[in-house]
Amino acid sequence: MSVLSGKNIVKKYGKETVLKNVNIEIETGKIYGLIGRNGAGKTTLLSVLTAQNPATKGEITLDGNPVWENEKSLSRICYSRELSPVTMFGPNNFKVKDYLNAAKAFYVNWDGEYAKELVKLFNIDIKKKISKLSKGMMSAVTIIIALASKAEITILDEPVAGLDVVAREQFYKLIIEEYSETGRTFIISTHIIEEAASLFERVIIIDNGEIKFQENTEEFLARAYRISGDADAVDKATEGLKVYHPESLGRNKVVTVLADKPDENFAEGVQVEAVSLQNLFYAMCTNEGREAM
Amino acid sequence: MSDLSKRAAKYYLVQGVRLFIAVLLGMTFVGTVWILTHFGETNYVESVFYRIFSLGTVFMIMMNFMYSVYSPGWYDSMVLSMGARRKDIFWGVLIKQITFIVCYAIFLSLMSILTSRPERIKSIMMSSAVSLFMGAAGIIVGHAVKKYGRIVYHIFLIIVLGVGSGSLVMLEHREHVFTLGNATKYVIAMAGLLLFVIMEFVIYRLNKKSMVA
Repeated sequence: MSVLSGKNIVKKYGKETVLKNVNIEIETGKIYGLIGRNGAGKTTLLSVLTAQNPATKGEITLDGNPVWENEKSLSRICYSRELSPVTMFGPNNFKVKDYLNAAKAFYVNWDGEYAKELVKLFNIDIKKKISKLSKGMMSAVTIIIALASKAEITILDEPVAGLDVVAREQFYKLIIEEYSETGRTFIISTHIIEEAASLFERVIIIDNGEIKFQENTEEFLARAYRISGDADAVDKATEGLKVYHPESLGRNKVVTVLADKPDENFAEGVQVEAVSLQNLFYAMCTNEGREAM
Repeated sequence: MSDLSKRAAKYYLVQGVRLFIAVLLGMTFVGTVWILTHFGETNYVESVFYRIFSLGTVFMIMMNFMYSVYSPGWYDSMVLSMGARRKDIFWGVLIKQITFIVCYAIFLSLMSILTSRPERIKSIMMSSAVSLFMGAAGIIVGHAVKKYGRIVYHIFLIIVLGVGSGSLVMLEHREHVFTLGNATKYVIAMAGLLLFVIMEFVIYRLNKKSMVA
């Protein structure tokens, strides 16, 4: 098993610190979900981990070898970024085939036949300019590049943004197929948590430039509970636990808690329910007192 | 030379040839329009070829500059996002520019020989050197645009227009700052090459920390 590791990563843009002493370990052969709010530092973290952007401080290695300007490490990684319809000079006039040709040139394990299959599957016209594609089609192009790269560590940034439900299901199916056939590592950064949650073997939650959790998804969710009931009973049941997003309605109270370990023995008089990844993430973010951006 | 360097070199070589073919098609279109417009006039073949030659040398310089401006924030950014190293991009861009200029210089030289005007080859060599220099300048402007935004590009264009207009006015009034006689083309070519080399050192340093835009 290989490890992509980032130690004490700091990234500053001018005076703003976007990543604050981040430590992260990506073990190969797993599917990771990277979750965070807009501006949490997801894209920056992925850019730094893949040497697309330099870190201000810190060390990034793959199996102990630096990733920065290292062919051996870079040839094992694909970070398929979101495409933009505009550049700083105007519309992005590159055609889809220009991106595919560049990918073919630079990804050492590029699978041209697979790329053609995917182009057909997502119904993409490769002669079209990027600026003329819909948001969903642009996402499909990044998915095609990521999957056909056949890179050992494949990273997708918001891959399902703009995709319709059929295309999203196709994407999840492709990821599962590819993972079961090759054991490739996938890191998927997404906002659509509920749909993708079952894919993630491990989940990484980033908030305000810091990694809050980095854990096996099942174990993580096994520690999370939604507790409701009379306010006093809820307070008593959750004493000593980290409480997120408390809501009160008259004498009733609802909270989300994250215990240190799975615990079914809460005090009597309260209702205990499991929490989905999306609801847990929502509760955690809301708890920080920062509403919708 | 590593495998990645070879793949990057091949990719950029193809880009250089593609750029040449695109400009060549543009030139062919303009040339055809001129031929049709001047058909039947006295010495129209020589006149049209002279125009194409003059436009061709300007095209060589301007197109290399324009594409170079786009390079750091667009083309190279895409390549960097696909796992290329910064040093591969540095050498790749050089390969692309040199491929374009060499192809173009060969094309113009052949035209000069075919029209029995081999003395134009000196001008082509000078334009090639100036094109290299403008290509390097374009990359530096491109890095500045990437960092500070399009305002840099507009400022640069204003400076170029100012200097260009000033030069034209001086030429019109025969007010030369200095005269070089027969050595003019050689001096300009040498100055262009010297500035190109200096700028490449600057580009190498800028490239070392470049980021995906």
